[in-house]
Amino acid sequence: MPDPAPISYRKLPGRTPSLRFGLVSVAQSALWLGPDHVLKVESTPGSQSYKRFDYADIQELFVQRTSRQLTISLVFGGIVALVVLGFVASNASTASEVFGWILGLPALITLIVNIARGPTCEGYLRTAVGVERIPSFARLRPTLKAIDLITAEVEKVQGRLPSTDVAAEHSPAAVPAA
Amino acid sequence: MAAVATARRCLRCDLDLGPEVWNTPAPIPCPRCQTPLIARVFPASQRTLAPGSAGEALIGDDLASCFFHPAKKATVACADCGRFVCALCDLEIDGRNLCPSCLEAGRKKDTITALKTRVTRWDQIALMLAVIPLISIYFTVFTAPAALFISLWKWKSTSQYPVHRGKARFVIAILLSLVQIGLWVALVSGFLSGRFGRFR
Repeated sequence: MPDPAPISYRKLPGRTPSLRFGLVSVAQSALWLGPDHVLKVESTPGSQSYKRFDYADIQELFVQRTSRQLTISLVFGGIVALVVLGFVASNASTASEVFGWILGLPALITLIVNIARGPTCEGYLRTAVGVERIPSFARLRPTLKAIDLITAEVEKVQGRLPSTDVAAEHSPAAVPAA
Repeated sequence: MAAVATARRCLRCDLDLGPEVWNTPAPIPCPRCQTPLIARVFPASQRTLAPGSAGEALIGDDLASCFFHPAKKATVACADCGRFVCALCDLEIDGRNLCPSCLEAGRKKDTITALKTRVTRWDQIALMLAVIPLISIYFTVFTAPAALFISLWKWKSTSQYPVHRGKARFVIAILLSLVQIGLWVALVSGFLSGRFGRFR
């Protein structure tokens, strides 16, 4: 059965933190914008799996800032601080200097990259059948860009939510008893 | 994680988030814990699911009937096999109306891109075979021909991928494996000709 013309996708900003060996990526997740759906791509070495969310079915996008950036900064900042203190306080021999650089330099690079990439967040996409965690919504800046792009496409299909509907849905009568 | 079940709750303090925080252009703080959040809610959240169509009963002999349900009125012809099908059997995929058997055949043969939920990335496998064994040169005697074989055998497979359809990884894998094979050929022929000394 011949397939129609291939669907063209546009990659949305944001991706999961991942390890990369040259061109071969290890465990990545990304969102791609299609003509009538969002494609969630989960990549592992040698395979990819897909989930599709039609614009007509997306009920909600939810993103919230997390404290992961602060945690990473504290951990790697602590390592850098310990290495610097070690250099200052001790009579640094060549071996300890080498050890310090091996430990301190990657920690310093990680710290700088972590600060430069901005605040962290986590995000979810809801449809009628479930809530899907979106791992590529990991940093707030690219996530906001991605959300705006998805929102524009969803609103082309669904339109905007009227404020009267919003109020009606959230009234106590509309909320089912727990 | 409890917050996954109801996305409209604050992930940190579990507060039920009201319309005052929905559809804001920029993140706003949670009313209780002040953690910035953004919630985009769309009209689909207000919609109830429409019941599925059961197909219309066939009245009279002058109407076409469904191939799978002779008592039901045909509404469309399958885009692949041309069989008439009723509303119940009509399955729309990528703007094409397919009957259940053609859809199943397409799924089994993996020919409908829109139904793919998993693909094997042969280009990545070929590249890994060409790159990773370079850590220990000796394995390349097996892995370089394997990378070259996979690259040539699965060259067209990237056209089946929904994304990442380029062939850059295959090209790099072919070039690297050819270099490795060339070096092995030169090494072996050098030993055989006595240029690098004789095997004892």
